[in-house]
Amino acid sequence: MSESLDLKKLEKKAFVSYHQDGLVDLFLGALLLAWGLTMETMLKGMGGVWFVVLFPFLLLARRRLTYPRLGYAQFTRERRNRRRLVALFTATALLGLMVAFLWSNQSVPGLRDWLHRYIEIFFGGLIAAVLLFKAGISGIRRLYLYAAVILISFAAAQWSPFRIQYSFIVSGAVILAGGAVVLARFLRRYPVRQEEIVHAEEEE
Amino acid sequence: MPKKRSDPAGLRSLEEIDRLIHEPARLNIVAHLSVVDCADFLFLLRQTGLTKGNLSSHLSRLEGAGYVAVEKKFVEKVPRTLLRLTDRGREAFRSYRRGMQKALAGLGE
Repeated sequence: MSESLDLKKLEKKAFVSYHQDGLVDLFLGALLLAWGLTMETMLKGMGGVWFVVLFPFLLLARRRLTYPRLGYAQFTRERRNRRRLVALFTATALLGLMVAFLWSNQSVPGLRDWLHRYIEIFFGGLIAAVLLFKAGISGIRRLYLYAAVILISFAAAQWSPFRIQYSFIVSGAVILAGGAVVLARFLRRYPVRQEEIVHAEEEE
Repeated sequence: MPKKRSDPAGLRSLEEIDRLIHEPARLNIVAHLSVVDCADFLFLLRQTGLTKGNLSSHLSRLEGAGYVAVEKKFVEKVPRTLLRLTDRGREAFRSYRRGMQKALAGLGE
């Protein structure tokens, strides 16, 4: 039905416009970069700590930069459920990989060696799969490009002397740069409007 | 003359169309509000491309008809004035779409 399709397009347009601020890109880029830079000094698995450290900055930036320029909307339950689905997919994939490593370490030496040999591909593939899944669900097309960057840089670490930490650093830097460009474009396109000044006065 | 063109049922459907929603700017607002749970004024301003005064006056009319509700709410500890399509507004939009579909189908190509 053409009408329901149009409304779907309208909803998608509204949702995607919310992600033209580049903040998710900056978050992801900073996360990978920080993880890569601290890989030598921290335990590899502890890199996930950066998620906890950086996530509040994403929320704060959205509140300070996006809402005053684009306004605030609460999307439908269906859209919120899709977001939860991405989170569930990410958590399941991460947990699955962790369980596979732990289980193989303890009981299956053959599998353990195989998993350790291809760790770069598993890791890069996991991050890329999460991005592809999110891109497909949200319609944010640049995530496809980021997934490709991650796959290429992690594959390079697998089949060349390029170390895995450089995969994190390179893909993080590329995504960070992409996010900075998107953010600059967003700030230029949407200057703060009078409504926000009124809104800020209401806040005080 | 083809039968479909002179179908009086199609024309009657047109006469039953809700004129409050039929106005292009208000249709734009209602369509945008129908795809979200709620949104603030700035969001609608950005998405619809209407001017501030235009949006404000059309929202007042929709609010007056009971199609749109205005509520003050704390979102992430920040007070926001949010606009929401009421159940009545959603139903009116649904019947508007049905009516238009019926009318246009009745008019044929």
